[in-house]
Amino acid sequence: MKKIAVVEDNPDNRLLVFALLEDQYEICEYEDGISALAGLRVNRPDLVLLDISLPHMDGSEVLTRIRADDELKSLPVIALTAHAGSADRERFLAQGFDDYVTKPITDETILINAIQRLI
Amino acid sequence: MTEQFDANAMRLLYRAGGEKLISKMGALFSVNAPVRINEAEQALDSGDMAAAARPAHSLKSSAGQLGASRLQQLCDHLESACLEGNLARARDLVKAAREELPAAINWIVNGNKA
Repeated sequence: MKKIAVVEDNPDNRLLVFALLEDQYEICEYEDGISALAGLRVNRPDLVLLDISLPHMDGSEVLTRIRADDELKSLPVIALTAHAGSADRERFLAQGFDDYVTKPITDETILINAIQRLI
Repeated sequence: MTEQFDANAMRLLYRAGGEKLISKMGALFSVNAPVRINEAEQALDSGDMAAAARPAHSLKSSAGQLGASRLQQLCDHLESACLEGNLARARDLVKAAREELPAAINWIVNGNKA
């Protein structure tokens, strides 16, 4: 079973993502970017779902550090964010995210399809 | 005006995890949503607009996922007001969000049968 790291500070959002994906993937959860960066090295996932508005270190900074890390830089990373403005998708893709899924999740197939395109 | 609640959001949660998931998410929301509003209000009281935007963003996400559409919209506007530095509007919106909260919690905990 492939493994997905979910980096999300909202516990209710973590619950939902876990419920949507647990049948198909092994899920590792992190509440913030700092613990995620540490965890990704010792428990490498196949893909990362990364919230943007995280405490202490936002998702964009976490992505920058992933891309700068020789061990992690090839990981597919999907931005999972409530920043849903018209320019946000292009902004996040330009930052180096592999895809972008908005919250609230209104259609689970959007998330699942985004994951299946990458792993 | 935005519909107060979104039954489609609840249908997704039922598909994902049924009553058990709704119950867990509702319990978390009931505890965490008032905390987020208090955090936003305290940040506004101290004049830290950026700090007020964060709980507004977080509550916007949670409310939207649970189908509390009006609260979601209020938090969206609150986040924008904070980022624009509009303190008077932010204060009005945090008050409105607090007033909307009981209805949102009631919807999530009791009134959401899809």
